[in-house]
Amino acid sequence: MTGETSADIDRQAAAWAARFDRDLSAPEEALLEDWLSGDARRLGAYARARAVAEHSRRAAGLAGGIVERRPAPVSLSRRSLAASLVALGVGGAAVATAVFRGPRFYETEIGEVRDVELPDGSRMTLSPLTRVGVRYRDDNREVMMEIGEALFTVADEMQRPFLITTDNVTVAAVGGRLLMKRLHPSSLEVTALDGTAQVRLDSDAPTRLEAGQQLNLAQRRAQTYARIEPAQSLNETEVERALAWRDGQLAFHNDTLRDATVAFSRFSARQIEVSEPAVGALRITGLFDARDPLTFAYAAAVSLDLRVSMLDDRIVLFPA
Amino acid sequence: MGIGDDRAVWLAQNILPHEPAVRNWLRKARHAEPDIDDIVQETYARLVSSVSPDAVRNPRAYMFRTAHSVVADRFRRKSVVSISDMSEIDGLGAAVETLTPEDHVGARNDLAVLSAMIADLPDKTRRVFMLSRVSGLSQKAVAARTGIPESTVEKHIAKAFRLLMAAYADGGYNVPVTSRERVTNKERRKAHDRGDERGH
Repeated sequence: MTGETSADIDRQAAAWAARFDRDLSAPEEALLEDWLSGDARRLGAYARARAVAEHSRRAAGLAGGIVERRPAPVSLSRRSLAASLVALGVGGAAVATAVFRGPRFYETEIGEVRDVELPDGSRMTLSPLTRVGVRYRDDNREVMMEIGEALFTVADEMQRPFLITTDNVTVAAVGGRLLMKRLHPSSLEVTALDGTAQVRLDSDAPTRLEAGQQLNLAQRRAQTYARIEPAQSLNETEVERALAWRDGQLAFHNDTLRDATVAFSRFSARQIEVSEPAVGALRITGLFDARDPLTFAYAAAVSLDLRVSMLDDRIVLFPA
Repeated sequence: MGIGDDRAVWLAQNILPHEPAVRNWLRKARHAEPDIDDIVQETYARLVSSVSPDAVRNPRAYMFRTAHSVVADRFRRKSVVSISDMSEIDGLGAAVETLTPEDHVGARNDLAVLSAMIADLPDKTRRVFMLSRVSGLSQKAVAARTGIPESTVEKHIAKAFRLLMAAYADGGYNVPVTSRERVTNKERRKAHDRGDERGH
């Protein structure tokens, strides 16, 4: 036995597991063998590190998402803020972009479903590739919906309305749960799941949404939404389908393959493509594991008479 | 020998969940915390160098038996063995048979525990780790996406593995990562002060 402490060995074992995670070069493999043979405990620590590494891949199936339990550190100066933005890449997760009195932004990655608890006890569940800004003032609580899809569970406060804003739209929620979907600026879907909501375009009279109602808006010119139809009532199945993403699932009902592949691309780095527009226009129905695009592709191939091909890391659907 | 993916997954599913129970058993037998860490490492080493996983019918019992043999060998290496040392080894059968409350929670809330452990990682490490594990990106792809150099991505991944290893030791409950590390450092300093051969 060497004089190393088990903590030292754990540290080195973790470093080796991280190297293994990006593939070892031949000389590194020899070095690893060498290191492992130096102390009986090292093999054990390395085995543990590898077990933890493989087990943590299960995080890809996190149904409720990662619950954020601590506030992100607030940068103290603009310079350190700029430095951290550079370090994190543009638009880092949970970085306060304006240090003083500015909104705090929350951003999720591909496949990430995140629960965020807000200071007043309201909660938001962000679907993958979503970005929102949160700003609480004395007289209102505002969430700026930039892109993506999010479920809001609003804590009732008579004195301080809960507002979700995007371009010329302001949605005022009065308690209950509200789903906002803006996967692309061209369209916006507002759904009141329980409780009611008021949807206001510019300074027009607000449209009242009852529980279970959905309003679809379309962007006719830059940053200006307009109503395209009256509010629709959703039945229970439709509501469940709309919320399936929270459990890491995707529900389709007579949706085009094109829309389905776009939905999957938000959950998995492994992309599904269609070989030609005619394939993309085919329609599919079913409930699928959002992180398993391959199984979806095979299911689609069987039911729509298509062929699955793997090109590099992409999954491509061809006519049979 | 390296540790293949299949072996790592087998360990994660069959052995890792029982580690807190083994550690509790060792703690009850009054082993010092650094010794427990050593024993656990040696136990894993034996687990991966002996039989093939298929031959193991009851992983929990197998892990306890292996840990037991590690402890017994350590006693054999000692020159003086006291009566109380020998009684430490008792209670193995009961420990194997008894499912602790953590075992039940562990099986049911496996993902929730993992989620909590990941949530407790330092922010930058957490982000890199999420991209690697949740989004399934390679380290190279994480580097390209975030602008963080590949070598730094690797360091964050290593750090996440190390912190999760410490968290798994306690079954991921309360995630006392920092306190564990603090204890370990303190023990190391003490060993050093004593001129113990374990210090360095």
